[in-house]
Amino acid sequence: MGKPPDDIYKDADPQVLKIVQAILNLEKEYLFVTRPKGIAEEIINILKKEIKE
Amino acid sequence: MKLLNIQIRNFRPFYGDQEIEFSDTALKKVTVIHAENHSGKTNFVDAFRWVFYGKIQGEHPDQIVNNLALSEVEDNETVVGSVRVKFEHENNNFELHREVIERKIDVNKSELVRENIKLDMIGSDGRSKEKMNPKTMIKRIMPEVLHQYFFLAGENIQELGQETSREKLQSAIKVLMGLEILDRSKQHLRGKVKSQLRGELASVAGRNEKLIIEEQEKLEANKVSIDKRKDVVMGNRIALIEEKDKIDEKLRIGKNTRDLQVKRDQLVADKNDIERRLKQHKANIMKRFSEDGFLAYINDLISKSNIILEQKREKGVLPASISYQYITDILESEKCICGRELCKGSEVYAAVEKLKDPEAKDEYVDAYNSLGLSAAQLLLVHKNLKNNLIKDQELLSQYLNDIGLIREKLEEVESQFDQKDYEKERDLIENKRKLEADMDKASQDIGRFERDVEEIDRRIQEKKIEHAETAAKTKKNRIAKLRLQRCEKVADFIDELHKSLIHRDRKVLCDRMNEIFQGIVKGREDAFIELNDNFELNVREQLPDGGSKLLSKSGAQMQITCLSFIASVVAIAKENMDSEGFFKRGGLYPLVLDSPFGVMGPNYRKHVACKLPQFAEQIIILVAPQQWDKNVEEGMENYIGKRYVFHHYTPKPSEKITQDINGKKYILSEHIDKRTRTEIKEVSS
Repeated sequence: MGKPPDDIYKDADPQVLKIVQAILNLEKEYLFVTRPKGIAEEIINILKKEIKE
Repeated sequence: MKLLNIQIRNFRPFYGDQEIEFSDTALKKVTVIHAENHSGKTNFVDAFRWVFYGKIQGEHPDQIVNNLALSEVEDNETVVGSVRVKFEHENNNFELHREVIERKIDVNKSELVRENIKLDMIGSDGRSKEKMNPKTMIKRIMPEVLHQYFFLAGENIQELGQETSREKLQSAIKVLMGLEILDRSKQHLRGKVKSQLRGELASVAGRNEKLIIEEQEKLEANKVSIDKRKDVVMGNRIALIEEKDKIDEKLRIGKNTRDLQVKRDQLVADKNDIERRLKQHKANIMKRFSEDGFLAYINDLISKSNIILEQKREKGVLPASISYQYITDILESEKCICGRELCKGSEVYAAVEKLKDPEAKDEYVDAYNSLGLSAAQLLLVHKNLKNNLIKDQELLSQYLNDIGLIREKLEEVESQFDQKDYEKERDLIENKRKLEADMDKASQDIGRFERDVEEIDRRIQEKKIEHAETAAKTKKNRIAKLRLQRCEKVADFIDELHKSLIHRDRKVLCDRMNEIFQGIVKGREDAFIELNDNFELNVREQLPDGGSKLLSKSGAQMQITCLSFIASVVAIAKENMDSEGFFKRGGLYPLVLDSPFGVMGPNYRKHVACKLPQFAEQIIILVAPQQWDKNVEEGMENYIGKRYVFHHYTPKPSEKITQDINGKKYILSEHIDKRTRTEIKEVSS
C-alpha cells in the first residue's frame, strides 16, 4: 500500500505542489466541458511561468 | 435536487399525456407507485434516464414513441414522444424537456425526424430563461456517472455486486469524491502537454539527443497503441462477461437449473476469493524476500564471524585487551588486519594510530559489543525468516489445494450440466462455455499487452537515462529539459495522490456502507460488507477463528449490500455538500427505485423501508403488490406523501389484478384485445 495523502503532500517538492495546485484549479474550472480546448496550452503556460528562461 | 413533477407523452408504454406530482417535503418525502410486473415500472425509471441523459436501459432502446400513438396516425404523419421533468436545484426551479419526433412509414416502421432537448430555469417571477448548453448544465447538476445510483431498476441493484460493476463502482467513488479532476490532469499532462514540451526540447537539442528523443517518442507511441488495443480487448471482455451474466441469470431463475447454478455461483465466488488471497499472499512473500531474503545466504558468514570474534576475545586481542604494542606492531608491519596497506600519512594509517589513544578505547569496545549484538539479531531474523517461509509455503500449498478442490467440484457441476436432465438448456450452456473460452482468450491477451507495456516502460527508462547523459548543456536546452522533467514529476505526483485518495475514499465509503448495513440486518453482527482493493462489492461472514467467508452473491444480504452502497452514495453526496474540501462533490439527490426489495424476506424489507427515507432527501418507489406487504407499508407510511397506480391494459388473457390502497380497490392490470397501454392514476388520500 502506498503513502497516505497527507504524507504525499508533506514529502512533495514545493515547486511541484505549486504547479499541481494551479493545474487542479484550472481542471476544476473546465470539469464539465467534455473536450476543453486550449487547456493543454494553459497548463504549459503554468509550467513556463514557474520555470522561466 | 428535488423532483417536483414529471409529464410523459407517448413515451414507450405510456400512451397520451400522463403526469405525476412528487411529494417533496422533509416529512413527506416518499411517492409510491403501485404497479404490476411488466406494466411500465422499468420504463418509468427510463423516462428519467432518457430526459436527463438520452439513455434507455430497457429492451428496444430505439423505440421511444408509443406504438399505439403511432398506429393511430396515417402513413407519413408524425408523432411526438416526450418527457418533461420539473425539479428544484440549489433554490432554483428548472424544467427539462426532451422530445423525439417520429414519422410513420407504414404499420411496422417509423423513422426519427429529430430529437430536441431544452432546459429552462424558472425565475421567482415565473419567467423562464433557456439555458444555452443544457447537457453541460445537467452534468453540473447531476454527474452522469452517478445517475445509475439514483435512477435504479431492480435488476440494476443486484448487478452492483457482479464483477462487471467494478469499474462503475470505482467511477462513482471518483466522481463523488471529485477525483476525476486528477484523472483529467493526468491525461492532459501525459498527453498533449508532454508532447508539446518534448517538441520544444527537440527543437533546441543536438543531433544525438534528437535521435534519443525520437526513439523515446516511438516507444511511447507504441505504448499508447498497445494501451488502446488493451482497452478494446478489455471492453470486449466486459461485453462477454455481461453476455455470460445474462445466461447465468437465466440459468439461475430456470426451475430446472436453479439449484445447480446457485451451487456453481458459490463455487466461482469462493474460487475468486481464494485466488485473490493467494495473489496477496504471493505479494507478501515477495516483499519478505526483498527485505530479508539476503539473510538466507549469510548464516555461515555470521557463524564464522562469531568464531573469529570469540577466538580474538579468548586470546585477549579483542576488545578490552587491545594493547598499545599490538597497534604499534600493526602500524610497523604496514598492513592492517583487514588487508589494507598502511602508508604513513594516509587516512587509514591515522585511523589505526588513533587506537593507541586511551580515550578511543571505549569507542572501540562499544563497536565490538554492537558488532556481537548485530550478529545475534541477524541470526534471530534469519531464524524467523526460515520459520515464516515454512509457514508461507504451507499456506501457499493450502490455497493451491483449496483452488484445486473447488476446480474439481466445478468440473463436477459442469458434467452435471451435460446430463440429459438439462437437454432443454443445452444451447444456453454451450453458448456460455463458448463465451467463457472467449473470455479466457481475452484475459490472456490483456496479460500479454501488460507484459509488453512493462517491457516498453523499461526501455523508455533506459532512454531517459541515456538522454540525461547526452543532453547538451546549453541554457535553452536546460530550461526545456527542466520543464519536461517537471511535467513528468507533476504527473507522477498526481498519479500517486490519485491512487492514495481513491483507496482512502474507498475505505470511507465501506465504513459508511457497514453502518447502514448493520442498521438493516439487525442481529447479524457476524456479517459485514467488503469493498476490496479491486472494487468488488462482497458480503462476508466473520468466522470464529478470526477469518471470514464469502456469502452468496444472489442472496438477500447481497441485495441489502447493494442498497447500502446506494444509500451511502446519497448520504456522502449530502455530507459533501455541507463540508469543505477541494475534491469533494456534493448535492442532494432523489432516489427513483424500481422493485428494490428483490429476494428479501419480510423482516429485511421492513428494515429497508424504515432506513431508506432516513438517508435520501426524496424517494420515488415503484413496487409490485407482491413486494408491498404490511411490513413495508408500516416502515414507510409516515413518510408517504403521494401515491399513484399504473393501470395497465394488456392483451395477455389474464384476470383483472387489483390492489387495495387506503381502503379502495385500484385496477393494476386488465385484459384488452387491442390498444395495449399504461395509464397513470393518482390514489386519493
